[in-house]
This record gives sequence, C-alpha cells and structure tokens, in this order.
Amino acid sequence: MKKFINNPQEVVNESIEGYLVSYAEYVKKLKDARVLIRKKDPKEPKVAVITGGGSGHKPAFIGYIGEGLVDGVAVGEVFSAPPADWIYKATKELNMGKGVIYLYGNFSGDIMNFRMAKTLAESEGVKVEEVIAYDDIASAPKDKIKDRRAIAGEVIMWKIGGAAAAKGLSLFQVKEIAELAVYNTRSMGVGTYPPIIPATGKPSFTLEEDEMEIGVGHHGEPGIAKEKIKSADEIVVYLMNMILSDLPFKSNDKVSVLINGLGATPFQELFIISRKVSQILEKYKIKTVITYVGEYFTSLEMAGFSITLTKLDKQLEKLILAKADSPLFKQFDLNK
Amino acid sequence: MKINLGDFKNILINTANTIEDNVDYLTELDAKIGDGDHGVNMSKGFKMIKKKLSAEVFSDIGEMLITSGRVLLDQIGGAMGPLYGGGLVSAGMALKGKTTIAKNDLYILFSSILASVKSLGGAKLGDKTMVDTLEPFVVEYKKQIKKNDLINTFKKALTKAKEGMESTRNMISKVGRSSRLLERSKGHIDVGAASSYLILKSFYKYLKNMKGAKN
Repeated sequence: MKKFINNPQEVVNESIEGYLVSYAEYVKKLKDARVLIRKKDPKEPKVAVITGGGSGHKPAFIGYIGEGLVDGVAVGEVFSAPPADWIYKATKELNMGKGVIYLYGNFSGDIMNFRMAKTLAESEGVKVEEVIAYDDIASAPKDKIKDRRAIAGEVIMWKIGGAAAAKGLSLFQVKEIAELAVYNTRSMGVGTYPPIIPATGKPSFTLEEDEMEIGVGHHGEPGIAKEKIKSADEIVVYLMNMILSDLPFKSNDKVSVLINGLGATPFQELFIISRKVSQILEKYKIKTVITYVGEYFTSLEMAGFSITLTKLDKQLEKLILAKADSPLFKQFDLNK
Repeated sequence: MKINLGDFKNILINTANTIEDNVDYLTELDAKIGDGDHGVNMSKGFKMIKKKLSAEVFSDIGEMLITSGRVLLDQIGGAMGPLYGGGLVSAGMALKGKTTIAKNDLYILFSSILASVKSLGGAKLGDKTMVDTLEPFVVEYKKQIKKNDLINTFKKALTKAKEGMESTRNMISKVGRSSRLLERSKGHIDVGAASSYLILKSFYKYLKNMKGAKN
C-alpha cells in the first residue's frame, strides 16, 4: 500500500479535518457526531436534504454540501455506512420545520442505519421521507430493479432533489421529484485497477494486467464479467447499448450525461469516453441537455469510469440546470 | 452452573479479543464476496466495547448488554453496527435486572439476538448470512436444554452453528452486498456467519473453563 496517510485508522477523521479548514466558509461539523452540515441557514425555511454513506468516494458525499444540493452528511468509515445515531443527530439539527428527506444509495448497511434514524426522529415528531438510488444496471436484472445498487446516479439525485428543496417545494413534492430522477437514471461502469482500503491495505479485487471488470460497483464489487481490455470506443458502445436499452432511452428524449472517473483514470481518457457517448446519443437522436465529465463519485484509487444517463422531463431539466454551489460542485443557473 | 456479572464481563472481553485475533481471517473472507471491511469494523467495535466495559461498573447483565449494543449502534454503523448492536440491545432488554444467568437465560439471550437480526436485516435461513449460524444454534439449544447441562447444551448447539456456518459456502447470497453476485457468491463462507460462529465459540471456551463447569 502506497498512500499519503498517517494512521490507517484515522484516515477519515484527518481527511475531514482538512476538508473543514479548506472550506470553512461552506461547512461545519456537529460537536458530538461525525456529521458535516452547511455553515449558513438558507434565507427561507426549506426541506432539509441529508445524505451519507461510507467514506472513500470524494467528492461524495461531503463535497455536495451547499446551496441547491444537500444540507448535511453523516460520514461513515471507508466503504461502511454511518451509524444511525449520527444520521438522527443530523436530522434533528437540520430540520427547519418543513421536514427532512434522506437521499442515499441502495446498500443494506445504509438502509438499516437510515431507517433506524428515521424511526428515532419520527418518534420525536420530525417528518422524514427517504429516496434510495438504484442506478447500476449491472448489479441486478430489470425485473429486480430495486435490488440494484447505487453508483454515480446518486449525484444526479442530489442535484435534482437538492434543487427541488431549494425552490421551497414541499417534502412530498421533493420526494416525488427525487424518485422520478432515480427512476429515469441508468448507470454502468468498468474497472481496471482496484481500490485499496487503508485499514486493510489490500486491494478489493484482483484482475490480470490486461483485464477489466465490467459493471464494477463503487466499492470494487464484482460486476457481470471480467474481460480483456478493449479500445475506449468499443467499451463505450458495449456500456451504452446496455444503458440505452434498459430504460429504454428513445429518440427525441432529453438527457443529462455524467461521465464519472472512479479515482485514478485521467480526465484525458474521460473525455475520450465522453466523445464516443455523444456520438452514440447523436446517432440515436437523443438530445443532451447537459454533460458532466470528471470525478463526481470515486472509489479511492480505483481506475475506471461509469456512464450515467438521466431522462429529463421539463421539470427535471429545469432542476438539473438550476444553480448549485458547494465546495466541489459549482454551477451557474443555466436556465434561460 | 451460574454466570455472574464478572463472568459475563470476561466473556464479552474474551469475545472482543477473539475478534481482534481474527481480523485478518474475517477481512479475507469478506474480500472474497464483500468489500473487506467486516473484520476491521468488528474489531473496532468490540475494542470500543472492551474499553467501555473496563471503565464502567454495571448493576446487571442486561445493562451490560445494552451498553455494549449502544456502542455498536452509536459508533460503528455499517451493517454490523445495527445487526450486532441491535441484537445486543434486545438481548439486554430481555435480561434486564439479572445479576446472574443460567442455562435458560442463555436461550433468551441468543434467541433475542436472532430475532433482532432477522427483523432488521430481513434474512431467512439459507440466505447466506449470520442467520445460518445463529438459527441452527438457537434451535438446537432449545432442543437440548431439557436433556443436558449448560455445557453440553451449548456444545451440541455450537456443533450445529458450525455446520450452519459451513453450509453458507455453497449457498447463493440473497441479502446484503454479496447478493448481487448471484452464482458468483458460491464457494465462500459468509463473513457474518463466520463472525457469529467465532463469538459463540469464544463464549463456549469461557464456559468450559469456568469453575464448576461440570455441574
């Protein structure tokens, strides 16, 4: 293991300390829980958006704490769900009387802890709803769609759900919109080198030098097949065929595109991926409203990428183009 | 044969040590079909329990269990935080006020843990989880309890727990992170089943070495 760390057990704490001093104008930490929340209250009360999960996914999750995105994050150990107590404390702290929505990914540890927190908060009269992302098409067949795990599609859920909350919509409306965003989102990725969990020092999977894991998860979970590496265009064609046929996306659909690097893939290569994705979308006459290329949801130093498409109706389009301002995700209001 | 407060504290501390000694084994098992964090999380959680138990005085065994469970629930997270933490808390509620426990109380303890794990995690027997270790243990314990003393009841139940753990090797995972692997989840023991077995085994080892174990 070759990492810039001091103590494998303190990786998450020390990283958070650094994040807090780097972006002190945006975020602060709760005293008695590893929870980061926005520094300033919004001008008007709104639905509070909370997410959380394991660490090792920077800029997720804490990088998205800011205007038009999420209000608070419970930070777990590397690749491991945060405890219910912290999520509960975040809920109590951030509720502005309009209710709280949990937007998180479909992992059993996260589900158990978020649901326990929800029960605790509800028993004290806080209104809580949840939306769980399940965008990774490689992780379960379509007839078991709710068994699918989440990957980079979570970012789209936060962007759209966060914008809906920022507009002052009700808890019920924010939930419906975030659910629609999840329902319309499909992702799939490929990995070439594994992440190494600091506490164990071991790679989370092994591949031959010339192999790739197709459909790899965000913690290095195996996907659907190990295959010999191919050209970027061939890999994109394979992934896009799977993604497009799963929803399915049709000609004249409007979409957002997210090309997400998993941690160790150069941006130069991500743009080669983006190039082919746009060629394919053009061929099918699918209209791209916005394209994000970069590292939005990584897996430590895993090499690889994922492609996420979201079908946008008028409302979702407006929300994805709305202003967002967090330390690691900034966007002008792109609505005319 | 009775287990008093001091014994029970020792049992929990021994369990923590056993987990500590097996971090690499659990990590390796988890890396096969999970994400490899089970060993580290378990060891971190039980270390915290050990620290808490050593630093506090308890009036009864129920309180000791609840305190231990709360450590996992409040500090650990992951899947094991709620599963083991919730299990210990519900066992603690069932044994509230007890300063000594005997054969029948241990049945209450382990059946409470099993019930909590099943309701929270939603797993059934055969889903390739810790339930495949715990349920055969609890079922056999109940079967043997009338015919045997504590040690032999526990011993026979432990044999079933081991068989249950081994049986997960050929199962296809139905819940949790490994469930997306379908056929590929076959061939490896489930790490939760393995850690549950380690805990039971360490419990048994202490009982066997207690004074009056033959009574």
